[in-house]
Amino acid sequence: MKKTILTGILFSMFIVVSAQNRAEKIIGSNEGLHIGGYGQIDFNLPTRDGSIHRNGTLDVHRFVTFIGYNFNEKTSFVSEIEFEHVSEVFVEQAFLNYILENNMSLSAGLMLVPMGIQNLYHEPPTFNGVERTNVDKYIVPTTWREMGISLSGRSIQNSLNYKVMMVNGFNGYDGEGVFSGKTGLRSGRQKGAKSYITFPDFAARVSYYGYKGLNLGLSAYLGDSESTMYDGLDLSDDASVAFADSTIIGIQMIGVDARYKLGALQFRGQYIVANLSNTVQYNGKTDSDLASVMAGYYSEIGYNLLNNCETENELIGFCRYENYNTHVETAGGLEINEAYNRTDITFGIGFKVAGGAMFKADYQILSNEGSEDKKGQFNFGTAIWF
Amino acid sequence: MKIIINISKVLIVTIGTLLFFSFSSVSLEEGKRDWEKINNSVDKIFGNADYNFIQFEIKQKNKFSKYYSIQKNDITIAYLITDKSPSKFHLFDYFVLCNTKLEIKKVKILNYREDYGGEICSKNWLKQFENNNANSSLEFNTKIDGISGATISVNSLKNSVWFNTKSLKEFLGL
Repeated sequence: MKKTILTGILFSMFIVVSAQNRAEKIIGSNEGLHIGGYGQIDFNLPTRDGSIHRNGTLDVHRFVTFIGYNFNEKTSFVSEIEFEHVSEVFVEQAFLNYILENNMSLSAGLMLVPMGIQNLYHEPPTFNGVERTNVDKYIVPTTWREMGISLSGRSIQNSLNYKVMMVNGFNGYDGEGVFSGKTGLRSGRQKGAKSYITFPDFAARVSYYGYKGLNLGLSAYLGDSESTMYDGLDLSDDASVAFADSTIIGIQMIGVDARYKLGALQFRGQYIVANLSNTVQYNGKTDSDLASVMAGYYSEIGYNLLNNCETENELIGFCRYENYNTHVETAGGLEINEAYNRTDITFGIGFKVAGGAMFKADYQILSNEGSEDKKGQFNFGTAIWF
Repeated sequence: MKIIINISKVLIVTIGTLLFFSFSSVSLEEGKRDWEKINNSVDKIFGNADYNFIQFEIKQKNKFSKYYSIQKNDITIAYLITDKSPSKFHLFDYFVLCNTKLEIKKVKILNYREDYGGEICSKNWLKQFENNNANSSLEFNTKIDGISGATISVNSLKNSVWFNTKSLKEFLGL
């Protein structure tokens, strides 16, 4: 069997085409500068609590500008600058990406930790509901980004994506305890702002997309939190070392997630569990109430009501059940706080009027095990991504 | 006391290992491995035979797309299009095989370089392009389901395949 490729040009002709060629923008005549962004603007309106009135809030929750630069076909710089609640400014991502070979690349800088769905895919038109899921707030502290170095790639043959990362850990102690039973690890994010390191942590994620419409993910995070007590520590001073050791915790976080799309029907679900060690010493030293196990999950189903219409717009109705508990288990006689076992039921619609533009409306029933009361909240929002 | 890992040593070993890989070349031209994949697909769809791939030029704005007629005993039995299309930040490589009526018989991703959107490489998802002979881009696009987390790449591939097959149809007067 012989195959011959003749590269001689046999005939040519002009065809006028109107389609814009984005490829040329990336490597052709353009110098390689990219600008994009995403954002969400929210209106949250709590329902009346008996005769108690509560005000609504209107907020440009987040607006993120994406600026990237391709130096050449192998090397690019990616950055995202976030304005949160209009006036708070963060650098959300800033890393250099270098393609090692066609399906593998190396990145270094401030990057997203690969855990669960929404920490990686958080552009508002990509998820249902005005607000992000609370599992991805209290268990996975979205947007969770730290300084690190990562290797990522894919096996097209096996329909697998993977990412492994060595990353800076949480700030768990900077003169006082940072973690808490209510918000878990969230306050410990260093976000690349004068962050410090004693112990490097490790994160990894594998996702499988071999069946049409299905995407399965497995994420893991392993490491210790950081503590300022180690800075300038005399390693021969046993008492000081013991003190420093009691200001850190060990973290093992595992997540599984699934997204499935079949015609008009869409489903997504996620389960995250975090096992924390050394919490007895940590709570004793910092007077905190950090649990030894935190976990959360959600399950969501949606349906595109415009699926059979001659349009690329989507009108998605959805409902979601979500439970997140930052006090699943505690150690050392710490009493479990049932109020930290929270359940949200959300149902609503999203009207996607363009690929990256969506109007959203939903209603949430918020409850916790520590109280009989349920709270209701309407949310309305606009979501964009370009 | 926990053992404090010497971070600098870990970094040096990691970077050293990774740089070792970096000597492999990243090429934007179709390589030998890419042609093996193309040949395999041609054999599967059109049968094992001696084929000549004859490149021809359609002058248009897209400088990455290449068009070939696949000939057996000097008779054209199929067409091949290779092209690059952008994901969020980088270009991915793909090819399309069509029969002589320009009905799509295969779309395959050869190389994907971006962290996000690699799900478009899924064979099962790509099957949706096969025999999608819509007459308008809207109809063409609505016949192909999206993938959550890969919106940019999905749209990019849909537009690029539509654009290339349309150009080829116009060129051949079909």
